[in-house]
Amino acid sequence: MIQFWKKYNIPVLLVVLGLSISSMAFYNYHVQKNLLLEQMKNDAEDIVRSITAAMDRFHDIKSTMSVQKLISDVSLGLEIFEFRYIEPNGTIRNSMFKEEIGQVYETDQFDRIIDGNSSLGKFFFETRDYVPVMAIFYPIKINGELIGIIDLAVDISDYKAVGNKQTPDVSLLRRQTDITNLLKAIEGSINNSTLIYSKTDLNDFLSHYVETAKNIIQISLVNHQGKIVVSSNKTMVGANLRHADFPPPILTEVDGQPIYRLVMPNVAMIDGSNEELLLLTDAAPYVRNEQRLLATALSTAGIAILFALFIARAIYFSAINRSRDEKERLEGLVKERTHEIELLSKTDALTGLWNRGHLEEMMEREFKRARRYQHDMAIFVIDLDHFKKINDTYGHLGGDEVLRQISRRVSSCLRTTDFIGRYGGEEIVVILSETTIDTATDIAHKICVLIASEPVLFGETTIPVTGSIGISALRPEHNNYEEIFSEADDALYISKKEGRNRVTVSMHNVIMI
Amino acid sequence: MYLQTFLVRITLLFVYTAAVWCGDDQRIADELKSPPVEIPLKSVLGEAAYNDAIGSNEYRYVGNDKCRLCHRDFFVGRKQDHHDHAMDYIKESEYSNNPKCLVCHATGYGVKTGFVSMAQTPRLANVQCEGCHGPGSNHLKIAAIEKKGGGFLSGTDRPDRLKKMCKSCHTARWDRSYTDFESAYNKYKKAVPK
Repeated sequence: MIQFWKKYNIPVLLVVLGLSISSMAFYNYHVQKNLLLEQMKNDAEDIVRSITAAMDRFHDIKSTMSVQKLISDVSLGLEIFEFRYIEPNGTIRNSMFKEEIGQVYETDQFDRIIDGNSSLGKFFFETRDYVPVMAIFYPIKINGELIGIIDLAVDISDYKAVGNKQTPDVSLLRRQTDITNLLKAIEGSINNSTLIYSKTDLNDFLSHYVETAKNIIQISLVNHQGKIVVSSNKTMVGANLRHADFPPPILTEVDGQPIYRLVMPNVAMIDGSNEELLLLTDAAPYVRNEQRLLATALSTAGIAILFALFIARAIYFSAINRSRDEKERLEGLVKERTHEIELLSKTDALTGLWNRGHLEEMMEREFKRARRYQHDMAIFVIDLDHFKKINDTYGHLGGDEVLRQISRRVSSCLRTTDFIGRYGGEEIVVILSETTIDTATDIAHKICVLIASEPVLFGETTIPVTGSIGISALRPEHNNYEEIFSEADDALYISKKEGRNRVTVSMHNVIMI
Repeated sequence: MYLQTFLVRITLLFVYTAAVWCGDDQRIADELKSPPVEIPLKSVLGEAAYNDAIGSNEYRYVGNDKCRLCHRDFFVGRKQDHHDHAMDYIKESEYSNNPKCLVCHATGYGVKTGFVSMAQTPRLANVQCEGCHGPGSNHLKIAAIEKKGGGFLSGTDRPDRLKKMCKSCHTARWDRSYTDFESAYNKYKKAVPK
């Protein structure tokens, strides 16, 4: 697990980041969508409130034409003790006392009228609610047909002639005239109201409302039996809706058109009933916005994931490049170190010249090459004169210093193609490729002179040094390099024997010349 | 036994009537000698608030016929109560126009739009609803438009004022109609105060 985490922590984190951004985008989508839905619900509720307010207003307008409104206003504004509008069958349709509306009116006097024992339109006196009143049952007729009876009573407790029903006071007679005039005016108003009332239609009102409002498709009023009683779409009036058709606010589709449906229960109607208001509004703007939100969320999530992938890819390739560079660097380092080790294995630690092993290897190789291509090749052996004495006199450190400086001097005389190595002790061997014995001899002389040209400086001490050189060159009869080397060594021996600090060419080469 | 009880009761009734009769004379004499009675509404509200309210013309007396439109049970109930016959006690007497008496026997006497006299404002005679609650026009307006109560200077929402209104007439001299104010007060919360 830990290994996995170490290896894949960045991709995992990026995937988590991508998923987090995607989740946030979708969460945002969800929140925004709910907000939109909530807003649409609120809008719909506002519309319903507006409709109910408008319907109230509509009812108010109708009420101003209705008898109830008339009775309420007259009762409140005038000195009238009782005021009712009674249907011919005795049911109280309107009254200043709202609680008695719908009840059957029962008093002795009214019973007499119903029974035909007394006639309508005559004033009479009685006591109502402990108050003496003068009252009248006034008939309302349309085209000669009795459509209702107005019961109107005035308080006459402050009139002196109360009780004298046969010859009322003059002021009471005047009052009767006023009341009769009022009743006639009311009769005219009721006739007009009844006419206008019958012509006004809530369906038309709602239909007009829908036409003028934006986004509203249908407004219907549904009674408790599920029957549409009023609708802006008149063809729907009378249709039956099952109660299951009224779920909470819901988005639905009708003929491919998105619709938002809201049902507002208990909308009070003017006749006292409570009905459900069904509102259908156009949900296309919501659907469009919701689709936009979804597209935004999807693109945000897509961008987040792509971004995460690109970053992962970039990190991946960067890591690969870094790893490759590191590998190359390490390989270079290894090669370098290997080369160094190889060099160390082939060089002499004291002088920096090739060591004996490598020297022999090179002599072998150069010999074979020269032999194969029939090129020249020369070898000379340098030996420092009286080196043991130098060691004895100046110590081994002095000897080492002599060897180092002489090696440098010899190297400085050589060409880049020449090969120089320490054969052992104070012996230095030089391989000269593509070199004739004469050229080699010249070089050897220069070296010999250079060695002796100045003493070696060892601290404060100067050590005079000379060297003896033996030279040999490749000849056809040579079978291996050892033979050339041996001849050079022999020539060296002659140089030593003849007094040192000189160059001796192998006698075999001399003979050839 | 029954006879004895009956006789005792009759005797007690006579004694009580005599006491009341004599007591009334004395109380009336005391009342007439006392300084003028302050208008109950003014004493309850304080002069400044009273002047503001009555001066605003928002508070006018309307008479109990209008109260009856919504509170018919109270109208009928009070018709059976002494308050609605308060004027009967003085209207045939020499005190029928005495302001000291009218302040508590009529509705809103001394207040603008309140009772003036039996000839001018017969509909505000007796102690009607507005006699204790103050002018009802503002309440009528609220009730008609907002379909709710309130709007009185001394409504049931302010029992402190209402109790002061009671006590401003039912003084130490005239409070013979009850012994325990709180129980009497609570009794009048009902339509028929029995």
